[in-house]
Amino acid sequence: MPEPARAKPVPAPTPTTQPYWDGTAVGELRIQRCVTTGKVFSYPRRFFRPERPETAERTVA
Amino acid sequence: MKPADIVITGAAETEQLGVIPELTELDLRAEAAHRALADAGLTMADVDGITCAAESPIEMAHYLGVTPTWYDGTSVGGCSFLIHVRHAAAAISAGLCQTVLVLHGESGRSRVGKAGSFMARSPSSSQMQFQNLYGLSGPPNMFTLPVMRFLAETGTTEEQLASVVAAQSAWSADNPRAFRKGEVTVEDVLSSPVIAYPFHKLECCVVTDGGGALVVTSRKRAEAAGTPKPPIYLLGAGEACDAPLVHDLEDGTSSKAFKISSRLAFEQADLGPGDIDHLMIYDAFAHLPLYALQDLGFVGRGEAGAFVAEGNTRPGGPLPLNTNGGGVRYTHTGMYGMFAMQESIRQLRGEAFNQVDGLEVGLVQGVGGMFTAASTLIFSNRLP
Repeated sequence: MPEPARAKPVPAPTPTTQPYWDGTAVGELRIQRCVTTGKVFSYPRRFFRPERPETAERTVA
Repeated sequence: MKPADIVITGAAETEQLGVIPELTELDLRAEAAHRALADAGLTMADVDGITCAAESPIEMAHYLGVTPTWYDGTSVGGCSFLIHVRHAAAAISAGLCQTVLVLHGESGRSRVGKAGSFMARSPSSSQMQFQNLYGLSGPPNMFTLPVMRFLAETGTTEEQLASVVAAQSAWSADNPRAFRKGEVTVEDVLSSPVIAYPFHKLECCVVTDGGGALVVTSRKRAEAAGTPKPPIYLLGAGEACDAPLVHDLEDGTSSKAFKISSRLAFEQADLGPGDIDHLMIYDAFAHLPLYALQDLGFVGRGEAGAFVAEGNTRPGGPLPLNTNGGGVRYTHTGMYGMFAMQESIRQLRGEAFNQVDGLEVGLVQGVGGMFTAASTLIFSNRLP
């Protein structure tokens, strides 16, 4: 017996991910970059490097 | 912990496997607990450590009427129970406890008294925000992402992938406890419905109810007290992890966690792939044995598909693999690792349904999530 179709999952933004989702609403991919290494990373994180939490800055790619 | 300091003295599955709507998950664990203790010649009064996944081990301890002084509820998917054995070994070696029940019971099919799943997430979780909204709804279509790259980069064919299931079905064909009965061919597998390309239905595990338990203690204590059956020695153990989201895996064609956990276990045991007589590889889907054969060093990269298709892991072959039929044939309650350990121990005790003669060293490779977690255990029926 086939299972009933599941409802499409809808993400619930958190304060940490809200800028990412705000970007999608205006057609922009906003991802973060580590200011120490320059590497971009996803998913959004507030504390990327424990020794320097401020090293995660938001960029628009 | 030194090799063989820790032993398994009791091992049992629930009497029934498959469809058990009259038992809750707590009941399944409790039945397995009592059967494993009886197998070890012990009673609940001997138990001072308890582990289980999904459910709190404290809830389980209260049900069983014991007050453990050590417990572990590590719940990282189907290999959690292998990790519990490793953690129990460390705790016993450190003197935190003496006799640990490693418990598993899961109503995966009937879903009676189900505890929460490690995969159930809230809409604000990383998994739901950044993975599942793209249509990834469950293991079949999560695992396909790395598998498609594996097939493309290693040259493994769909027929070779299907041969994993055909080989395992030869082991379980006449086993009355196997959920899927009989033997199937590569053609049978490829003609079963596609669930999520490249997985056909017969390349996906069964969905069952069942449980199992192990009694873990020190060799010193087992030898002093005496055991009904010869103990099974734990020679080596490892655990490792990778990304929680499948698209974040460092390499979809190889499991970093398999490589690390197996290296730790081999190093601890001072053994290598050539020393392993019997192999259990967690097979929620048909590709996992191919990854592990390569990542653990039994064959070279890109060689696993041909190795299995040529019959090396079938009955009579040089490397008996998944001799209970595995998750795709025997049973898979959602978290299969306990059943892989049970078959390894049965084979080393000479108690398996399709027994392989002359085995001394067995390896169990577990996976949790979509390559997110891994654990490796090496067991033996002789002292190193």
